[in-house]
Amino acid sequence: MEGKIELTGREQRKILFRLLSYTKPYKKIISFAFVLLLLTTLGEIVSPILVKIFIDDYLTPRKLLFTPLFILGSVYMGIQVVNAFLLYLKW
Amino acid sequence: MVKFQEIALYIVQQLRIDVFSKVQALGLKYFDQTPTGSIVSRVTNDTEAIKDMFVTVISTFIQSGCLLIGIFIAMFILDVRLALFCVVIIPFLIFVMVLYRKLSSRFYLDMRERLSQLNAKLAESLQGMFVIQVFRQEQRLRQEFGRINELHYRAGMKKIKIDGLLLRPAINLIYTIALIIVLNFFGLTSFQQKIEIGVIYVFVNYLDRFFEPVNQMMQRLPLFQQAIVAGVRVFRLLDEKALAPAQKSETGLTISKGRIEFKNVSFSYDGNRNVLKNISFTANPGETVALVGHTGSGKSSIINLLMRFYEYNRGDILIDGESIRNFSKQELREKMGLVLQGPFLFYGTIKDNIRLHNKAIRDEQVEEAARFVQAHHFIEQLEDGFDHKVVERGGAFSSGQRQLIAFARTMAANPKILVLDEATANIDTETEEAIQKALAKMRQGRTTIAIAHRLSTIQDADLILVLHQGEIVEQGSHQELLALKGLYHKMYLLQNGKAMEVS
Repeated sequence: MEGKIELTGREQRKILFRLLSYTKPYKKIISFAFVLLLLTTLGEIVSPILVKIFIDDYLTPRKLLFTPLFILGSVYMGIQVVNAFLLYLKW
Repeated sequence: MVKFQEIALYIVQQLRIDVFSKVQALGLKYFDQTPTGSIVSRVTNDTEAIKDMFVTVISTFIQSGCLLIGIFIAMFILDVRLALFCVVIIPFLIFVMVLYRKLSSRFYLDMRERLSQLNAKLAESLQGMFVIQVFRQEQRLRQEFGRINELHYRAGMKKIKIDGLLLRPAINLIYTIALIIVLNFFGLTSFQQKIEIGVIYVFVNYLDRFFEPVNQMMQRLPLFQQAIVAGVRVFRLLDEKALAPAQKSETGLTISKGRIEFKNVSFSYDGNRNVLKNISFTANPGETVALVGHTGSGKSSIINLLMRFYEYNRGDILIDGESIRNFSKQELREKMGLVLQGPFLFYGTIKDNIRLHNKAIRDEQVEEAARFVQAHHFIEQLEDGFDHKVVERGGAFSSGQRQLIAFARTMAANPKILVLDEATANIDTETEEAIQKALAKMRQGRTTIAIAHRLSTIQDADLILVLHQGEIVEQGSHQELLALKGLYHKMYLLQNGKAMEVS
């Protein structure tokens, strides 16, 4: 047998990069997937902020107007739908 | 998800092909030192582990990493002080991750290594099943297998304990603490100023989202670890230096006459013990040189060197006056025909086995070669003749028949130099005669190096070398050696015992 393999962090990093180098031929697809990923992440981060706006600016002051709330709700829904779609497409 | 998996599969496919071609390029020396099972596990298990990494680990890491960065940016935009509190958590998280990586990497390595040992043990016992059953070694092998299995289990248990402690529980603890800090912050500030409920909502929501990717990443760490370990082993194999002896391929030298010369050649398999010491001899074109000697005297090693299976350490081997290193591999293989003791038949038809899928050899040449070595008698009696299917490495044929097929294979390639490793005695007399006749015909006009076990078959050799412990102790023709009354004489008497006494 080859005996035990002890690895330092640096060696591990070297191996990782060498493994990653195998992805080179697929750069295009991967960067495309990466853009999709950024979009979904953005959606995930923005949606709680929308909820915050709803709570602080409309719910707490009891300013329940139809138009701004409708817009808020539609944007929130839209983000969820687009995200679901992107999640399916992603990778 | 589909696209990324597809890429991962492509990558692993590529890696596997790389490993496989590397294995084929390795010298036989490597296979002496490495158990087959562990090579098998490189090509299958280890590449599979690497695939897992590409499929689950990398996607998770990129995804989680993006989300984490995004959450932090959002936190800072919403409330700088609160975000700073959350930054405090990060060192703790990193600490847990580093600790986990360190410990799990050790146990993972251990586990993989044990698994590979298990594979090796299994391969060994499968290959040697015949011997194991005959010598009733089942008990011992079972125990050995059990012991490695036990070690594997222990390594696995250690890893599970580490997983159980550091993965979810530790991270959950940090999460709870973070939640306490955030809520406290809101609670305390609410005494002095009005706070927005929405901000509380967002922060709690973000913390929730924040720990999910962390947990995900932690859980993928073992796979990552495994892939790195597998990667090390695969790359170690890919970087292996024990290649098959190198040839200068672009010299364009050709073997025209077939004169072979060994000049003070020394060689050792393991680098310590010389199995060949200062071997020198010359085989002139068309001559037959026979190698005789006891088992382990170095006969097969000479052939291994001549065929370039191993690299020799000192001295030189010349063909037509040129060092054997300067010929291209193709030239060597084309002009030197090797006939081994235990001929290996591939799955396929007899025709394929003789032609070895060399398109340049036509059907007529195949039959001609078979006729030349007298193999056509039995081949034509087979169902479908030359198209008869060979199964199970030719187990349906007698060893003599397999030998004849191997002869035909060599003759179909029409080499200038013939290297023979004569079959030991497990052949019936009738086939034996056919084989001897075929051999005599084959040797005509070709320089032949032959390992002989029965001295009767090489009496007409031009030169007989008697080897003993890696050295040539006697050389000459049959009659000269007999007259010498040395080792050869003794071997001859032993083999022909009674007959000699009478004469």
